[in-house]
Amino acid sequence: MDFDLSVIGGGTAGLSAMKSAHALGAKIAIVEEEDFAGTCLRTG
Amino acid sequence: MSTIELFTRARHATELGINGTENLTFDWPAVIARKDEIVKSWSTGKNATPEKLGIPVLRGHARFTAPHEIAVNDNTYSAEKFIIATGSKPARPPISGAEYGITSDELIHLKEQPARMVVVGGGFIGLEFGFALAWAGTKVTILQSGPEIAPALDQEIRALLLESAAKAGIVVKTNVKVTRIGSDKTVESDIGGRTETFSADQVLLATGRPSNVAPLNPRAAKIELDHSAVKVNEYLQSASAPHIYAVGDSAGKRQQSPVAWYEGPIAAHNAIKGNERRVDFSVLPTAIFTIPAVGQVGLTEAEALNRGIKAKTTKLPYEYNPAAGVRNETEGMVKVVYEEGTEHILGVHVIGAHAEDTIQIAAMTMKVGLNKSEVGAMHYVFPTFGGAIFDAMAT
Repeated sequence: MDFDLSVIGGGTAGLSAMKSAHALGAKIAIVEEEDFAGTCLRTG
Repeated sequence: MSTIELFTRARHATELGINGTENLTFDWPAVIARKDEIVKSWSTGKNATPEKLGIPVLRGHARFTAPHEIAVNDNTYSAEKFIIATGSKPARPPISGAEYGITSDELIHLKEQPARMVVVGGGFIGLEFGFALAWAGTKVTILQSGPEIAPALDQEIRALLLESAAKAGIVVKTNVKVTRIGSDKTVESDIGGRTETFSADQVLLATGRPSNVAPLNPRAAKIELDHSAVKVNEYLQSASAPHIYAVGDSAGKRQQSPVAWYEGPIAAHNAIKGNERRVDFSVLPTAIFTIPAVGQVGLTEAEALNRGIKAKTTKLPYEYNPAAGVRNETEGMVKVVYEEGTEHILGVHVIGAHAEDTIQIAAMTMKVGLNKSEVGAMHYVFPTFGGAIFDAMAT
């Protein structure tokens, strides 16, 4: 396996999951096609 | 929204003895530009970025090719576990001519403020944008398919919201079936068998934001969906694919940023350490950023009665709140739903200035389990809008 955990999406939820998974020491990757941020912040 | 609120208050400042504000104008391009700047400053720098943490970013669109494998552009990657956080996208309803309408994503990038706007959908997004544009000077008509706007609201709060909508000059029509949107942005509809046509400069499609999971090809990983979202258990784990978790708008109906950043760490923990943390939404305050705003937490009166609870209510109109009086913002009400006898607080509903903030006092009291008379007996700062929550509980 390339990663323990892959987070798909770099919005509000994805970034908070990524940060926690990183703090727990997992080998992770994050997938994002546009800008990092989240709906409420950018468009909602 | 806060800018438009200030604009609205300023234009009514003569009532407070401040003259000369009647001719204020609203500079749409300047407001949009400032909004873009704020968004930019928040989305850069302040958050932990993957780059700062040394986490590889796979750039592109992800698609499951097997339960433990995703393709991103031309590369495939394998992982033990996945967290789906692909959010939601505004729906384009299956209406003929829907392509002539715009979604909220597009509205907030419009270069020009529309003179007339028809809003298809009377949920919280349609209401928020409807109020904002109406107070900024747009002639707004909201078309709701069902019998009520914002169906999740307490009935009395909704009635007051409708009064506020009328004051903003918003026309609200219910039980409307939109049949066609023309290239000239004319909206044709069927209201109880009659055809009614509305002309507009922009048509806002505000019929919900389905989760954006389907483009991931969820079938390849055996991910079961509930409507458009990943069907998850209380651990945010996929019901059908245990190595998959979902968070935020991908995981369901509570489409709020605080839910998204609450769920992220829970799913991350469960995915890495095993299912140890459950989500708890027993006390979830929400707000609608209309003018005035609406805040609610817990059950509505109707929901409590439907559950067979002996529910009673107590209400405090904003007219009795000295802070509201001083600031000339007396439009509003606090309504408390509680259980007879135990005085257990079941729900609190606020419409009025600062409802989005004062509702959090109510949520806090419910979380720690204080009952109505205990809250009513507390000390608070006077005069404040939050005081209305305590005063309502004291009656």
